[in-house]
Amino acid sequence: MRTFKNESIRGNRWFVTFIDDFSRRVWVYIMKHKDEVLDIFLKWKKMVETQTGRRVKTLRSDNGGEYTSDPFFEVCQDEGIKRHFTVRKTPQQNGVAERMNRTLVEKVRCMLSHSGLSKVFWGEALSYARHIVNRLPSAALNGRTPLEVWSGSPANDYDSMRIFGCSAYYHVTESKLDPRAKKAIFLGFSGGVKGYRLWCSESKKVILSRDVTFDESGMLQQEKSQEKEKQSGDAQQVELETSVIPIKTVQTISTEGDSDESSDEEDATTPATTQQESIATSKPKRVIKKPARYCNMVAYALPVIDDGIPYTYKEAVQSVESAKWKEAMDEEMKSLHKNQTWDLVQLPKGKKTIGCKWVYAKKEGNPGKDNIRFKARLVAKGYAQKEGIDYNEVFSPVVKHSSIRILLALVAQFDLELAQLDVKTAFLHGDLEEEIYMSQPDGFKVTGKENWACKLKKSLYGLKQSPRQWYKRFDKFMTEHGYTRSQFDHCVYFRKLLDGSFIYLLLYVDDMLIASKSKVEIDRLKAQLRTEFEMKDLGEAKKILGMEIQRDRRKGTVCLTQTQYLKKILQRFGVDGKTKPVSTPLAPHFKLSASMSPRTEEERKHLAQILYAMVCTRPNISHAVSMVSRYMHDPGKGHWQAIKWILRYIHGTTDIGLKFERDDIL
Amino acid sequence: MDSDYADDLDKRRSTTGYVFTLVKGPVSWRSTLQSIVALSIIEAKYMAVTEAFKEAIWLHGLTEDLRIVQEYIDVHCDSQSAICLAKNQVHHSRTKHIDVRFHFVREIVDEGDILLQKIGTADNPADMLIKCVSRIKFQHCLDLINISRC
Repeated sequence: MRTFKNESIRGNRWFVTFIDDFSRRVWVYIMKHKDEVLDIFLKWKKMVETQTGRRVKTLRSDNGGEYTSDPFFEVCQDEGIKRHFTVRKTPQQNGVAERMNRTLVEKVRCMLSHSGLSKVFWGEALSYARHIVNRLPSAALNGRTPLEVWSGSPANDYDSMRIFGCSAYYHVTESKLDPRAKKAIFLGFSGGVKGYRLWCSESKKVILSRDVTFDESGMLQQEKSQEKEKQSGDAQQVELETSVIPIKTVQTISTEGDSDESSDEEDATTPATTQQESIATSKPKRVIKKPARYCNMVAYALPVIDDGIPYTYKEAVQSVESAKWKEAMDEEMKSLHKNQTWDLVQLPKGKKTIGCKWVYAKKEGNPGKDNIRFKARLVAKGYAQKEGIDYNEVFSPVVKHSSIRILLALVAQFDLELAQLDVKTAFLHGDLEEEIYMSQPDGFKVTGKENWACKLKKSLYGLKQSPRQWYKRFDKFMTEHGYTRSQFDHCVYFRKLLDGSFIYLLLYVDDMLIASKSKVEIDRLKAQLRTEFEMKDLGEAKKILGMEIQRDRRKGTVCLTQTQYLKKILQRFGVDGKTKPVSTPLAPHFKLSASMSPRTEEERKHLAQILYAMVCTRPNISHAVSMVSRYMHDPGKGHWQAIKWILRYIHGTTDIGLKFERDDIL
Repeated sequence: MDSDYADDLDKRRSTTGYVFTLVKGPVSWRSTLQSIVALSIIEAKYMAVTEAFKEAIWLHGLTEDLRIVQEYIDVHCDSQSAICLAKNQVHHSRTKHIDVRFHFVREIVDEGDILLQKIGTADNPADMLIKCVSRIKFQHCLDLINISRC
């Protein structure tokens, strides 16, 4: 016998099970009070004896008070029924009944939870669980079902079983215009009646009906909300009382089967009115869409473009384009060896090596050409270097953007020739003054000398002093060849030619621009450079530092634009053809202040990209960008809107640029 | 060059803006918040003049290196009072607090390397570097420094 904290729909709180030890057939009775047990037992005994023609001979139970009362003993004595009790606190001795209880309660819990019905339906669920258990094969019966053993023939009503709690539509004829069916919930079967037990949530009544259409497809979730409001029962977990109250086991010694079903065991052979339906859910799902303003924000914040560039040697080797990467690495190694970048030595005691890694890049050629170049570069892990030991001075000058523009202005004014050169592996030309050891690069370890180290002779990429060493080397070269370094920009060199005109050279790390009136002089300088460094001649300057140079020598104009770069930024920010351009970079309605800043982190590096455009060719957005940059340490929504505004302005003016025109006055 | 007085809403600092052109095209420009608070419009302008002069000196030197012959660099300022302050050692209660370092302007003006001149606000392209301007004014500024479609 078990008790539930929750009353069932009829106010029952207890149930008692009787199990036939031979057939394992189970009967369940639900009751309001424990003392009803004796009456129920007598009724059950009568029913069983009548149905089988045999008599109950033995009754096994635990030592619950309701089984050990005087009236109970008297009844058993009168009927000659033998009593078995368990030893105190030893439920094992009543194993069959205890296990059955567990089986039943677990089924009840599942059914209630699955159907989403409230706990007051435990009685109905229990009854249905018993119905199922009696029809399921049992291990104790060698796979036969309890009903089969009990009556000699197996049950034949399996196809009338439905999922507990599923929707059922039962036939009604209320008036001509009313619907012909009403919705209810399937609960089980009623003993002795050929029909389904249904719960009508509207009228809160149990209905018996024969003409029912079931809808089991919706049993996946949605009944819950509907039922919650219908049931007033408090929502607590189904709990079992911890002190287990005894259970009855009846051992009827029934040697011959009886074909008849008990009164409690309905044999529901109701014609199946259901139609075959898919169990899969058919309920349409609402498409979850973020608010429009949020969509935009995310598009701006997450410009993830997968360009298929590997980050490690392993990735490069395993990637689809591994052959091309391998080729690029071979080329780099060749160049390193050619420059005698290092000697392979055994690491002296007390010295440490610094690591190195491969860095990969894909480079697009000049506009118009489509071929993508694969580049691999070996870099030393310069961050491991220690100041004073591995390096001393690190400063290296780079050309100011103003200087580039001044040079271009000169080009426009005096109609000069403009050439661009690129130094291959520029840093490798720098001689190293300090003694630095590096481990061997991945994939190119010399067999047999795996533990040896590379003693660096040239400044490898990644070392702290590399840019400086390269600059020093270049500076020395230029001064040796009679060039003067400008005092105002150390990356600008010039030399007076015989005819009084000048040749200029601008250095930006490894890119250089050469301008002069005479083509011969430029070629001479190129040849000189080539003897010293490995150069790449890019011909007439088309593009430097992301700025495109367009010349019209007839009109004497030079235009400087950043169309490609800006288009790339706009693409990253998700600004496309649909975005409406604006005519000014910052509108007066943006009153930016620090008070608009929230206390959260947000993307800010993207502003740096616009910032670069401002530095290069865009004085027109410089005010707007400077306004916005003030808050970039802590940007808020207002600031974001201002940035979007700037992007929209850029979107409308990607092809705008600086224009230098020959001025006759100068 | 130009400046906008106390336009920063947080600290009431002013904005400096200048743009230099060579061969009709802009070669150097700047729009920045001043590092200290100016007490008057003239002070804000004067600080902007200082910044512009610093840049002008550098540009002058570089262009000289590149053998562009220029007698002096013109710096146009739309504030007559700032020009006066740079030219004459006027001292009165409104200007006496101005830091000495800004008075290096006077020295340079005296030397004659840079010429400080008056320009009408309407024709000052640096206007777009210090404040939000209307569409027409903005376009006019762009035309002045030769920024256009190529």
